[in-house]
Amino acid sequence: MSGKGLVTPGPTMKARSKVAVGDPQLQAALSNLDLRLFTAGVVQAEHPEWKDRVAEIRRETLADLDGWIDKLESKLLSLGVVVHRAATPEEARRYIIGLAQREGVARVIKSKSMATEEIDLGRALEAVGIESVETDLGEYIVQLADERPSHMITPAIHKTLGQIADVLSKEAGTDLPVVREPLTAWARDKLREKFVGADMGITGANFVAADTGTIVVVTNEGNGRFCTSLPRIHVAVVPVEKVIPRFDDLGVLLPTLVMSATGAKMSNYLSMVTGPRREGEIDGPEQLHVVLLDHNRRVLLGTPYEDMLGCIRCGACLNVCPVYRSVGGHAYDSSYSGPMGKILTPLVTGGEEGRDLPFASTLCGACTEACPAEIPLADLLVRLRADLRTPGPVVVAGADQPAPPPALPVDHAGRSPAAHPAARRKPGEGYATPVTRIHVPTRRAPWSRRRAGFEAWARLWSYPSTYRASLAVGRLGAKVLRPKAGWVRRAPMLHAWTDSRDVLVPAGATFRERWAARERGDERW
Amino acid sequence: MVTTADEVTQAFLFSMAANQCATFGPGDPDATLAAIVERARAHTADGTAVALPIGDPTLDDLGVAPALLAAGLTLLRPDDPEWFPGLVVAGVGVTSSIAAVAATGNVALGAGVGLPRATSLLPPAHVCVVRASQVYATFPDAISGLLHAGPLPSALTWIGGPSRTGDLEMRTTFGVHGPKVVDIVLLQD
Repeated sequence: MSGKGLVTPGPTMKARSKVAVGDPQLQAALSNLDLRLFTAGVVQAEHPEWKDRVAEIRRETLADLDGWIDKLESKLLSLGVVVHRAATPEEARRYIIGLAQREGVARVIKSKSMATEEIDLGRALEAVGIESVETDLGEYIVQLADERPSHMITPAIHKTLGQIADVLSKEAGTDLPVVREPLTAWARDKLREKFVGADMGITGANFVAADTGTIVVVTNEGNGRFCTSLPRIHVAVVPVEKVIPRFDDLGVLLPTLVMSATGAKMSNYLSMVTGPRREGEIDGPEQLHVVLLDHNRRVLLGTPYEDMLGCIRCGACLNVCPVYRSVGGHAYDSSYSGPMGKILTPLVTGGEEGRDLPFASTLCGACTEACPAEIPLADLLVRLRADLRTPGPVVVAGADQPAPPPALPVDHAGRSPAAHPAARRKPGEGYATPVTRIHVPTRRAPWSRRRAGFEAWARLWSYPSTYRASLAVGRLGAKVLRPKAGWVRRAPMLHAWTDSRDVLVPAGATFRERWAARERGDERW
Repeated sequence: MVTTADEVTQAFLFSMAANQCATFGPGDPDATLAAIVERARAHTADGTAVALPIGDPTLDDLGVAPALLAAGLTLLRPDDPEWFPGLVVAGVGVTSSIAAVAATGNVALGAGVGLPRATSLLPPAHVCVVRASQVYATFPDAISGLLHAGPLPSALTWIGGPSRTGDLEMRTTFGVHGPKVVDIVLLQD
């Protein structure tokens, strides 16, 4: 990404984070995330069996992703859908822009979609003179402000109501009140003008069922319904991992997605599109195009990163992440933010973007806990940190991994899906270690002073005698430095570690010492 | 746990009300028809038209079209060449559903010949007639049920209630793009 459209600009995540934590408006806006802090736990509390089922469906899909894509493609073709396989964002953009130009499309209406964000489709359409209008209210606000969405479910979460009113007032050419209802009503009227007469609707897809060819778009506002019902052409941009084996799987996937995203039992609208308009129908798209986007996804199959493709884009990991909650989405400077974005961004860009993102993590594991698809996000972050040490594309650690499959488009002739190494994986069986444990990569990091330091520290604290001795030294040091509180922040050479940390002056005695004194009957403790 | 048909029906009405819908019934065909006419009249008090599909089995069985005409209301039908511009200014769209869910509180509408997608989308109000026999206890039940009921329609639209957004500081605000008002009329069949 270019750094364009960020409220927190900067060359690195660290620099952007610094801007973010010092921005009072942003911090006020981010405090609204508190409302979603506990939504991830709702599924667990109300339907504990759903998470396992979702993970099972996702793993079953990924075990034979190419097979399910083939099945989906033949089903879509039989429904009269045009299918285009795009290996790269560039190919996807070229296809959609070519189609729009061929069909004389003047205006495109877009429903919020992370996939179109990933391929930066809206700006690409505008660049060739095709009006592209975001119709999700949050996404519309972000577009008017010439910014980028900062949260996959709530794109304008980085803005306070006052800032939103400013953006909409500027577009309206009049001062709109800082009240939610009139602002919404104004946007409704304004976007109505855009809906009527748009030639092309572009959506993503939350899921696409291989057996029925059904494209599912989840919204609350109804804009997804407009984009799939009124324009004569509907284009769905579908990353390959969005395929699910069966329509029947939606019974669990959709409520889990919605509940994890917002805590609601179900989204207000679900659009399930099965083919273009049929004979005799008077609305719905005459042409339906599905663009299957690979973009470095299929090379992850059979590697420990395969689990990341199980993501259903609910945003639960963002809502619980202490880093995301402090700095917001723009600090990531990538289409995908939060824990899942830190992993997916370096992977899908082949290591070209977001290399510093996996390091901006406390590894607290809240994301892993929240994930309804049981993706071991914290494990993957640790693994990725190791794999990103070598410059260039992400090199996956471990010698036992199978060769990655070729990039799309691919010749499927003669290749049995069962021959794919990932197919041997049974549903529920993960490559990564159990979700509750942080996995330490087996590949040893190259020698460095930092590593030598950590190893010495580990040895020192491996024996009770040296551990206690080190505490005694620490207390002595603290006594000497007590009058100089804040010294850690100014410690030479260690500033990367100490800039944002300080130590409290230790108490005079350790807990163990105090406990021993108490047992002896020492009244002071 | 919801078990009997009656409990499912009551849970459905409760969930729809929780989603900010007005609910009517369950009633027999006469009571249902009266409720539809009353709601259609209320939403078109300013002289706007009632958008009504053609060939909807539930609405045809009830005799909704003649009843609305007898009540002096203006009808807009899909075979009208001015259907689309008319729909933009219509006061209400009346449809039936092909399935509904008690636990999550939503109704499913199928598109088809004479059953345009936009009937329940463009007008500011939507009146939806639901047969009690089509209410499933849970969403997974409904998905399986629809799958086995026959081929899927080109557009299957699930509706929970009035259009809403959480985009303004994560507080729910109603009436974004779709209908601002949704009335659920439950027919005991």
